[in-house]
Amino acid sequence: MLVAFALAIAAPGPVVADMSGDGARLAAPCAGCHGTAGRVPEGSVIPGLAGREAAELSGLLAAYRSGERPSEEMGRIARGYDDSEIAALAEWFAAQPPGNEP
Amino acid sequence: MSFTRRSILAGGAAALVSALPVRAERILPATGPRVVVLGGGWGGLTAAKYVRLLDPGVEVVLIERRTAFHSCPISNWVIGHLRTVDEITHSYAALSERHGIRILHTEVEAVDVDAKSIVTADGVVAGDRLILSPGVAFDYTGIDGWSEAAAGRFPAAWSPGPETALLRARLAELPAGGRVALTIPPSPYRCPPGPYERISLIAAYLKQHNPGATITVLDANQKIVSKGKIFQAAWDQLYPGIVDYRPDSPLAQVDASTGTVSSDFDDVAADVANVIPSQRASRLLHDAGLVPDGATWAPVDPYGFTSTLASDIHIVGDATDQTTVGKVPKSGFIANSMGKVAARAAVAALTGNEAPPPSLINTCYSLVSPEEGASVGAVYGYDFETGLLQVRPGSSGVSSQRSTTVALQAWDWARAIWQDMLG
Repeated sequence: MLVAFALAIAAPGPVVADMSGDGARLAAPCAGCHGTAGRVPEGSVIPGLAGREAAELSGLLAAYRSGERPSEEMGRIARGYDDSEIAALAEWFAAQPPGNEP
Repeated sequence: MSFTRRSILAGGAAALVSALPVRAERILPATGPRVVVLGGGWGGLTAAKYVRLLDPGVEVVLIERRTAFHSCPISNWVIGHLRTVDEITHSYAALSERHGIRILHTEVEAVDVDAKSIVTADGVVAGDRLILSPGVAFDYTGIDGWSEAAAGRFPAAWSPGPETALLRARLAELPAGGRVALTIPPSPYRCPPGPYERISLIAAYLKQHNPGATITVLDANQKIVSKGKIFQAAWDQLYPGIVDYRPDSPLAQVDASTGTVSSDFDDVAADVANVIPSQRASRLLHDAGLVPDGATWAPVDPYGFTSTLASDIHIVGDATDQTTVGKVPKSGFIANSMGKVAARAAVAALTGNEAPPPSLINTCYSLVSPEEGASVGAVYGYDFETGLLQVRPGSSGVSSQRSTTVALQAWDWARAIWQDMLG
């Protein structure tokens, strides 16, 4: 039985700016906690990343990586990226339209 | 022409593949490049959505039996009476409404590797590439006394669904001062810290609602597989006299009439018993020749999660072979990450581009009590020398102690990743 067979006429999906570059590739798994394109569900204690200043985000990642800013999860994750990767991540999230996902 | 499930099953897997292209009706003809995704779990959902995000010109058909998504992560919280079944059940609707994914809810009979198609009870769905995320099958071979009665007496509750609710209800009905038993299979199995989180939340429930009740654990492994120090400390400090943990105790025998689970050394008679069985790649992958004879899991090249045994076929999630992937856990977070890598590789292949190297993250949150939790995680890159995923230096770690912060984050992690797969 065919159930819930939707026509492929999509309502506009979420706006994700630039899925092609290195930033998008590196940032994709971050969505596991920070939501698709860095937009968290409303009320999350995990901060959203979309549309924040690139300098702020790269500064935070560098501070997590050095341990200057304590966080168990973000400390180890930030150590997984070099300077150029942190820059690519920060620029990509900065370019995403801010807001919450439903 | 028509075919029936019965005639196919009677023919067996070998006859199946050769007989099908003439017998089975093709349905849902493609109008452009198409990826067919098998399995609406963590790997498959993510792959389906990200193919559409990467290239809206690629059609996606997602094939999944269930008409609603049931989350495996957080299902321990339901068993421990912290959350409800409704809170881990979500709609697939946004994937079609928002992303234009065609969803077919039907039984899958077989994967036809040569035709790049999925044989379903409704007909055959073909694509230019397949992304398979069929999950694990349970394997009860080698357990003396296993029977249909045993299956009812010793639910696994290791895939979310009716058994999750059943185990939750049985815990509430446990006689005063009663005994719960839980058995853990040899690693690798789905969700390494999962059994230990479950033990902790059952212990917390007993402590609060049934003083004097206990939980006895037979673990096939030599020691706690994940977050060992954290779980052991929680059991010692929060649940003294409640958790009786016995490592190196593989389940050898069950007796459904008495509710007894036994290792070679111990017999544990329990009022409520949860047998988490050994696991292997889904039968569909074995039947399709995507798991070598005698092997347990499906080998893949983790650069794009392509099968090493067939072309144009990606396999993601718990069914993949860690010896070919690298030392990533069989977790929902990793399946989500794998789905994105496979989506990127599939779209690159369909558009004549070269896929970039994979980059993955894992973070696994576990509760040790209703208020406190711990996490483990790592960042993974691709090592061109070994062809395996490898932990980025310095990025692997586990919480130094349990905390309320992690427990709060765990719920919002679940909300975010559900949204990333389904929203």
